[in-house]
Amino acid sequence: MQYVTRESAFHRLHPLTKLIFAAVVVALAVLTSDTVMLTVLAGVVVAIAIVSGLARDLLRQVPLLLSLAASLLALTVLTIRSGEIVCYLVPQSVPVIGGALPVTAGAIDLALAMSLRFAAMLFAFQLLVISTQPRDLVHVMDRLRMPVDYTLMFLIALRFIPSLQLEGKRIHEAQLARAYNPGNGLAGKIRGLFPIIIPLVSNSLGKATILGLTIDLRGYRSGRRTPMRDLSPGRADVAGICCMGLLVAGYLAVLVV
Amino acid sequence: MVDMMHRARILAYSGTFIALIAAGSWISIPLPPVPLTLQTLFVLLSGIVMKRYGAIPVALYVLLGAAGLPVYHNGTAGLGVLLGPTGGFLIGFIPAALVAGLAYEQKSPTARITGLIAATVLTYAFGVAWLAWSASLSIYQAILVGVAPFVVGAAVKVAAAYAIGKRVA
Repeated sequence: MQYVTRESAFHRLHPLTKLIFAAVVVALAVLTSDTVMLTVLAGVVVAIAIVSGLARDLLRQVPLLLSLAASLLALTVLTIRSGEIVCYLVPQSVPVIGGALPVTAGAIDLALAMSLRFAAMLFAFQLLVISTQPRDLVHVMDRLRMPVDYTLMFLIALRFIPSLQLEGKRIHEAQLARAYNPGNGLAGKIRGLFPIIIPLVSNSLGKATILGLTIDLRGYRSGRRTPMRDLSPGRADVAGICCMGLLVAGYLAVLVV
Repeated sequence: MVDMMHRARILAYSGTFIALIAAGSWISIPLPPVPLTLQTLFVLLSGIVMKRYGAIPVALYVLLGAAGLPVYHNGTAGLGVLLGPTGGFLIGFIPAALVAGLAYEQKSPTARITGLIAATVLTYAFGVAWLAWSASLSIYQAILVGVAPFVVGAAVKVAAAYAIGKRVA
């Protein structure tokens, strides 16, 4: 997840509007475990992405979501027994253990609800991150009187996650290119971790030290910050907030009734 | 003598460690009976490198996950995970990083290793207590589910954290 430079309707919105959007989606997703409602919620987020031409970026998360859904399904099928029995993992024709491990409707329902909830939250956050410049996000969080130190930590983390993954992969490939072979089996797997983690951690700490110096050099501790540009909400933001208000009202109405 | 870190450096290191813990939560090594994630390794390393300030990135990591960023194990997130049966482990990470950090302010290897073990035990203590309470299991059952399968992995991670700590700190 990283900022993507592009001209889209979502990019042009005020950062605060997008922040509220992500918060609203997370709140609504947590409020219910009804699959229909969650499908609608995830659908709305995806629809917004399609309208803004950012759908392709969301698609990249689909493999992650599918694997998450599969593991959730495995977990709920093995642990939850409620509702009608749909089928059996071990067919009833098998002698002795036939009919073991029933798959219940309740388990499938719960796994589906949890997967949809994660999908909605993940997509909402991704839309926020890929369409908002980090400096605008910091500025808006500063305006909201969030402690600026923590905002910065959050942004550094967000910026570092993708580069860490890339670097880990590179280091691994570099070790392979040097014909490093930690051996097979469990011991080999564990031994193989060290030549990746040690360079990864020391490289990122080196980078963090430089980053810390840079932050200091730019006068962070003087306590005065001036934004590069002061964004003001436009007509689209008002419309966006109104739509969100309607969505929340409708959602809560359906939830209560 | 405690090496007092600069505010800007704490900030940059914290950001880095949040990212490392998050990335570590997505890596899993197939170790029977349960896969090993690198989450706790980076939690310990956070204490090792940042000393007592190591609790800051860990607390922020838990907070970010609760707010909905997919940083928990296998890309999960949300208050639901934090309040779910395994949430105690996540909360336990915070005192664990603090204990490891305080131990690493000492020079002696014995104190440091004891600190790392204490930190790991603390994580599991929080995890088991919450697991037993939230899933209404007895303490014995909770230990059987929440600790026994992870003992080998935890020991490997303490040893790895100590070895890596010597190289990077």
